[in-house]
Amino acid sequence: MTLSKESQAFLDNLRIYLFASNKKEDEVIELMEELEDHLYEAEQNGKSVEHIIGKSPKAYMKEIEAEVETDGRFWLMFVPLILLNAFAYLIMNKAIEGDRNYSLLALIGNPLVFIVSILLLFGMYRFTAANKLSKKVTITLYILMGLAPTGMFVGILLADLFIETPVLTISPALNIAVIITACFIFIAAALYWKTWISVIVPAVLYIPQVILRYIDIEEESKLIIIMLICIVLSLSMWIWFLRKNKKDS
Amino acid sequence: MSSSQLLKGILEGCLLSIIAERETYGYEMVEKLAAYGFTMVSEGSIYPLLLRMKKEGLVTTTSKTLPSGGPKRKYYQLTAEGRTELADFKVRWAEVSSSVNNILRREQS
Repeated sequence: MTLSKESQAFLDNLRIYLFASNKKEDEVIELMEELEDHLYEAEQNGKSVEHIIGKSPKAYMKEIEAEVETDGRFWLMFVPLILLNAFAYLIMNKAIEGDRNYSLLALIGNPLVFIVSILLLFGMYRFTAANKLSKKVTITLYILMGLAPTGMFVGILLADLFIETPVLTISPALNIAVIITACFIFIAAALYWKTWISVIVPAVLYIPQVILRYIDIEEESKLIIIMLICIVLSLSMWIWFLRKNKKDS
Repeated sequence: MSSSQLLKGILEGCLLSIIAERETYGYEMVEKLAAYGFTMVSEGSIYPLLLRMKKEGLVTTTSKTLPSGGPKRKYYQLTAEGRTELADFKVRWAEVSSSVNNILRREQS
């Protein structure tokens, strides 16, 4: 059973759109199967996609969106877990460096940036899935979306240097506990989402840092090595994802 | 109420009537609609409606594997509430259509 390119593209976009709208997964799957069945039969009878979904895929997606139930777990489970995860990243970074001071600005700002990033990302997914955009625009959007969280995190880092907020200092023993807790959170997130990515990313970020701490080289070259490792690893992961996506489609 | 909303109300009544005849699936419903000349809406617009009708308890669904293999197909059946809704729709439609016809006929005479 094969569908035309247009039909398959529409189904893929609808799936992304509904996913980014926090719709109940089983309802989405059920509906997608039904639509796929319909599109297949319609194509066998020589009908076009337009005949089925109308002139505007966006309008049709919105129509569907209104009827599929929203998954309440998103704000009850997903977001708290993201917050916890964001918190784990924040404290891990500092704990490894032995920095035991936490400013109020960073404590609030970093998780906030995480949530804003997720909302932006979902917004972008919905936008690119519902609108027919040129490749150029889509790629630009993806790049911007990739840079936005980094920009915001850097912004908080800078703001933290210039704006004074109350500082919380923890004991060295508590610092070790923080590291262990963060590791547990990464693993819990990986188990919950059934993906290794939430373990791989922190591993990529933090393991080089830990190793370099025990190697005797200059501070500056350390930084450069860490940056290089991060860039190489994230690039290779990105390429791996793109390849995998290509294979899947 | 926009014209498409009006059309959706009518479409829902038609779907209820088609499902009342015997249990059926999406594509078959569309073919029946087309056979009776109901081609004002795009085929896919029955699915958001069917979703709502299911949520309102007017229809139930069962998935059946086709004898020819392939993916499961979703069949719709009318519930007791669905039958009541269909009866209501018939009354409403008779009123609306007869009054609209009367008004339009007035022009000719």
